[in-house]
Amino acid sequence: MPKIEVIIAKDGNPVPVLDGITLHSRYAPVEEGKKLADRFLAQHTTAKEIAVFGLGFYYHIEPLAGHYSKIHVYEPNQEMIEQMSRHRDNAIPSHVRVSSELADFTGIGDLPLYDLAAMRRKYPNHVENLLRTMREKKVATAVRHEIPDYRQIRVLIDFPVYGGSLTTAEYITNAFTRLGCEVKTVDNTIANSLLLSFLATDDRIYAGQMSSKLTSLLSDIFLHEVERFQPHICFFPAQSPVTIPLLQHIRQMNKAVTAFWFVEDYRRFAYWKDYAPHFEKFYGIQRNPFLDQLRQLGATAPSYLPMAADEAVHRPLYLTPEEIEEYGADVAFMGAGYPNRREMFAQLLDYDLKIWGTDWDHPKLQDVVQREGARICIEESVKIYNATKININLHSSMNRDLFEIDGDFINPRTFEIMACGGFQLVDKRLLLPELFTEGEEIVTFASLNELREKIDYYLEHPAERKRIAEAGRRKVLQHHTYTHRIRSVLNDLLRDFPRLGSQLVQEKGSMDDFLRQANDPELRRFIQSLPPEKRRSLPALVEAVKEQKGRLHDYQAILLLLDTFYRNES
Amino acid sequence: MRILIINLTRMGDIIQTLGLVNGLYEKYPNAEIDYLAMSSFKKILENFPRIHRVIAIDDQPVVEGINEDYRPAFIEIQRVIKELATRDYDIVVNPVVSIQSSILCVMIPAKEKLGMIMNRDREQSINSEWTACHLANEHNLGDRTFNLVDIFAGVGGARVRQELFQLQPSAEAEQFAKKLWDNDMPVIGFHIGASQSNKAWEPEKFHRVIEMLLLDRNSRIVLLGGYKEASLKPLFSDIRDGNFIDMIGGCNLDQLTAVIGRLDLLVTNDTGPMHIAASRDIPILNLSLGPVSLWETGPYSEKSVILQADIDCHPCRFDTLCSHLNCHHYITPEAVYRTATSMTAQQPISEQPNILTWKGLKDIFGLQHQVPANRRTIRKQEFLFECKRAIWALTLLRDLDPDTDWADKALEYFDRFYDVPALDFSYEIERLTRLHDMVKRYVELLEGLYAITGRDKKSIDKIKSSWSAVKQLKQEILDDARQFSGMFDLFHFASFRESALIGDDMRELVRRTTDIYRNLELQLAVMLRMLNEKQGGPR
Repeated sequence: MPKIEVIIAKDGNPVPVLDGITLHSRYAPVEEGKKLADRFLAQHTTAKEIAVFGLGFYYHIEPLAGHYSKIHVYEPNQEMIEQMSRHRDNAIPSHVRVSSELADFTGIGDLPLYDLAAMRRKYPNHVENLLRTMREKKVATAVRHEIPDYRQIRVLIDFPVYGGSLTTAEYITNAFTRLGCEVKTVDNTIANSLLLSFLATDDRIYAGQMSSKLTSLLSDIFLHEVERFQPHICFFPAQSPVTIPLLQHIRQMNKAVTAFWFVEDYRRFAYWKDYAPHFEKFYGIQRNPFLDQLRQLGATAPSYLPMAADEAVHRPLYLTPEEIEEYGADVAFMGAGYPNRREMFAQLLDYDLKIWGTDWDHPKLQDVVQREGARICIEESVKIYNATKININLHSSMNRDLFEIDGDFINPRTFEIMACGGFQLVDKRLLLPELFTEGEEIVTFASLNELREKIDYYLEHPAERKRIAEAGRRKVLQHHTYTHRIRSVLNDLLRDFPRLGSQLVQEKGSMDDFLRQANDPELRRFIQSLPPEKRRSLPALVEAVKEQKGRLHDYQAILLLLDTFYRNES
Repeated sequence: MRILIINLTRMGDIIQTLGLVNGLYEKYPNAEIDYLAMSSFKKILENFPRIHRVIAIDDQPVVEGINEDYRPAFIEIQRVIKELATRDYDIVVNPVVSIQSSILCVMIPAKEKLGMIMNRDREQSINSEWTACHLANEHNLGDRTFNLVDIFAGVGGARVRQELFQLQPSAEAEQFAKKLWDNDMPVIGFHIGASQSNKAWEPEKFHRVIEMLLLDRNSRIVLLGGYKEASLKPLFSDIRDGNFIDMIGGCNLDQLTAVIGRLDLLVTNDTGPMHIAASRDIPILNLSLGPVSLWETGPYSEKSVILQADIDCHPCRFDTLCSHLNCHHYITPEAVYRTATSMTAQQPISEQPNILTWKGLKDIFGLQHQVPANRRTIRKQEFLFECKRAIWALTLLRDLDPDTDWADKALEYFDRFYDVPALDFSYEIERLTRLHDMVKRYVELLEGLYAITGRDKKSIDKIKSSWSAVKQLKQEILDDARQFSGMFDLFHFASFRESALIGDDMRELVRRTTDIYRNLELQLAVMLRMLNEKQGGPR
C-alpha cells in the first residue's frame, strides 16, 4: 500500500504526501485548489456532471461543489479517503460521490475528467482504467464504427538484431504501413557487430552475460521509444531483443498492447516458453499442441497466424533473355542447405538443377550450387522463382530424414514462390490443405519417387504448371499476404483489447475538442489537410509548417514555439 | 505607455533583467511595465518592484506535458497571446538571445520591438545594437565582454544603476528569514547546485570547505538549494554542528531572497541565487567553472570575488565534454576556505597557485567589470580584451561625454589594476592596418554609391557597376577578417546591423549602411591607436 504522510502547509492546512509526492501545494493548498478549479470551470461551463481522479484532501474539488449537480470522485487509495476525513473538517456534500472501487464508475458516461496532476503522473494507468470503465457501454458501439480507420493506430515494431526474422520484420512493417497505421521501427541491427563480437569469444559465460546486457540495453531503448511515440501496439517479430521486465513495464503502463509473432518451429527453439505469459497476444505458425502449451504457460488467447508473402516484393517479373539464362533452370531450389535438403538434392543431379543459397557443402552438389554458395538477396530470389520452371520447396529438417513426418508449419517460401507466379513442388505439410487446394493451387510430394514423378510430369506439361501457378498466385493475393495477416492482427487486438478502442475513440474526440477550443479556421484547415496519423505528432506538424511558404500565421508561430520546448531549445 | 519584457529562460536570467526593469522605469516613469515569463518564476517576479503585471505561461502543459500532447500547450500559448494582444504595447523587449522569445514576438502586436525578433516573413532580425554585440561575441565565450545585466538593460535602451538593482522579498518572507538565526556571528551561505554539471563544483569539496569553516567556530553556515539539489542533501547529513543549518528544499524563492539578504557571504557556483545575492547587496564568492564566462554572467556587484582556474581552455563551450575538468580541480577547498575567511574578516585577499582572483566593480563607463583582486602584470590577451571592451562601450553607449578621449582614459584605467608593459603587437597591428584600409576604401565606395543612387535613370549602369565593386570588396574584407578571429566579432556586428536595415528607399539604405561601416572603420582605428600606445615589438 502506498504510504501517506500528512504535513502542514505554510498556510496552516494539512496536505497529504503520497509516497513522497505532495498532492497539493506545500504553501497554499486552498489557493491552489481554487486556481485549479477555476481553470477547469472555464473549460467546462455547460457540464452538469463531472468525474474526478484523485480526492487528495479535497482542496481542488471543494470550489467546484457548487457548480455541478453531481461529482464522481475516484480515489484509488481507501486510506486517503480516511485520512482526508480525519484531517479536514469540511464535510463532503452528498452530491459528491467518493469511491475507491473502480466498478462504481461503470458506464457513467463520457464525463469531463478533472484530476490532480500529481495523482495522474503517479497513476497514469488508473486514469486510463477509469476512463475505460466510465465509457464501457459506449465503447462497444463506438469501436465498431471507428475500427476500420487503421490510420489512427500507432505501431512500434522491435526489429531483430540479425537473422531470418529481419526480413519478416520488414514485411510486417510494410503491411502495417500499407494498412495506414503510423509505424515506427526500432532498428536493433546496429548492435549486430557487437553481439557477434561477444559470441565470437571462447568464454561462454562472458558471451552470455554480455549478450544479456545488450538485450537489456536494447529493451531500454525500445521503452524510451514507447514513452516518446506512445504506440497503441508494440509488435515484436520473432528474435526481437526483448526482456521480460520490458514487457512487464509496458503492460503496467496499460496503454500499448504487446503482440509477438513467433515465426519459428516451436519444437526447434524453446525460448518462447519464458516469454509466453508476458506478451498480451502471442501468434505462432503452428496449431495444437503448440497453442495448448502456450495456454498452459499462461499466454492469453494465443492464435495461429501462418506465414505469408509481401505482394510488393514477391511478384511476377519480366525477365530479359540474359536473366532467364542466368537465373532459370528446369528445377531449382533457393535457400539454405539443411541436412535433409543436401541429401535430397544430391539425388536429383540428373535434372537441369540449380541450387542457390548458403551452406551447401556437399561433395556431390558443387557443380549445381550457384555462385559458390553465396548469399542471395531478396531481389535475386524473386528472379529465380520467376525464371525457374519447377521450384522445389523442401521444408528444413535438422536430421537426415528427407521429410518431417509431423511437419506442420508452412514456410514463407511457399507463399513467396506463389506470389511470384512461380510453380513449385512442396513437401506435404499438415497445415497446407487448409490454405491451398492440392492439384489446383499447389502440388505436393511425400517421397523422393513422387517428387521425381511430378518433376517429370510437370516438365512435360507447361500449361498445367502455368494454370496452377496462376491459381496459386490468385489465392495468395486474395488471402495470404502480410497485409491479410496484419489486418487480422489489428482486428484481433481491437476485439480482444477494448482499451485500444477506447484510446482511439478518446484521441479522436480530443482532436475535435482541441480544434473547437482553438477556434482558428486556419489551424483547422491545416490539421485537416494532414493525414490522421500526423495530426497528433508535434514534430510532424512542425515539419509541415516549415515546408509552407508565405507569411507566418499565429498557429504556425505557436507550433514553431512549441517545437523549441519539445526539443528543449531555449 | 505600455512595455512588455519577454523572458522565458532560467531564474538567473530573470534576476539579471532587474536592471532592465528599473532602467525602463527610470526612462519611462509613467509606463506600465509587464513581464512575460514561465509560471515557475511568477512568484519571484512579483517581488520586482516596478512590474505592473506578470503574465505567466503555465509550465505544466508547455514544459512538462509537451512530449505527451502538444494540444494543451497550444491552447495555453494561444490564451497568453490573446491576453497580450489586449494590452496594446508600445514597446516589446526581448532582452535574451532566445529563439522562443523571438518567435513569441511575431504574435505580439507592438509599435516597437527590441532585441532578437522574428518577423512574419520568418526572418530573424536584430533590433538592438546590444543584442548584435552579444551575438557577435557568441563564437567565443572567453570574449564575452559585458555583464548580462548591462546587456539586457542596453537592449531596452536603458542604463542600470547599482542602487536600483534590488530585489525585495515580501514581508512574510522577511519574517520567515528572521526566525531562522540570530546574527551574533558572520553567516556564510552555500549554494551548491548549478544548471549544468560542468558548472557545478563537486559537492564533496563544498563539504570540505564547510567543515573547515565550522572548525574555526566563528561563523554560522547555511546550506541552500532547491528541489534540484535535494539529491545532494544526504551528502551533508553527517555534519552535526549547532552552527550548521541545512535549508535545502526548505524555502520558496521569495523566502530564499529573504534568507540570502541575511547572509554575510554567499559561496556559490554560477547560479540564480548568486544573482539574488547581488540584488540584495550581499558579498559573493563565486566559482567560475566550465562554460561560464565570468564577464557575462558574473555577479552584478561590487562586493563580489570570483575564483577562476588559470587555464587556457576555460571558459569552454556549453557542449564541451571535458576529459580533465581541471578548471574544477585547480580550485581547491583550501583556496575557497581562505578566500571566504578573508572576505568575512574584510581582509585583503591573497593570490593562490593556479587560480585567478577577480573582484567586481563599475568601470569608467559605468558598466559592471571584473578586474584582478590584486595588482599584477597584464597578459597580452587580457590587454587585447580590455581594448576591445572599451571599443564596444564606445560603440554602444550613447550617453558618454563627447569631449572626453575615452581611449586614453581606458588606457589609464588599465594601469589602475595591471602593470602594463610594452607588448609585441606587430601581427595584430599589421592585420588591423590592412583591414582598416580595406574598410576605409569600402566606405568611400559606399559614399560614391550614395552620391549616384536615386538621381535619374541614366545612372542605372553606374549604380550597377558601383554595386558590384561594393559587393566584391565586402567579400574580400570578410574573407580577410575571418582569418583574424580576435577581431571578427566587430565584422559580425556590422553584418547584424546591416541585416536589420529595412525599407524601400535605396538611397537611405545606402546612407545607413555607410554609417555602419564608418563606425567599423572608427572601431578599427581606435583599436590600432590603443595597440600602438603599448607596442613594444618591431614597428
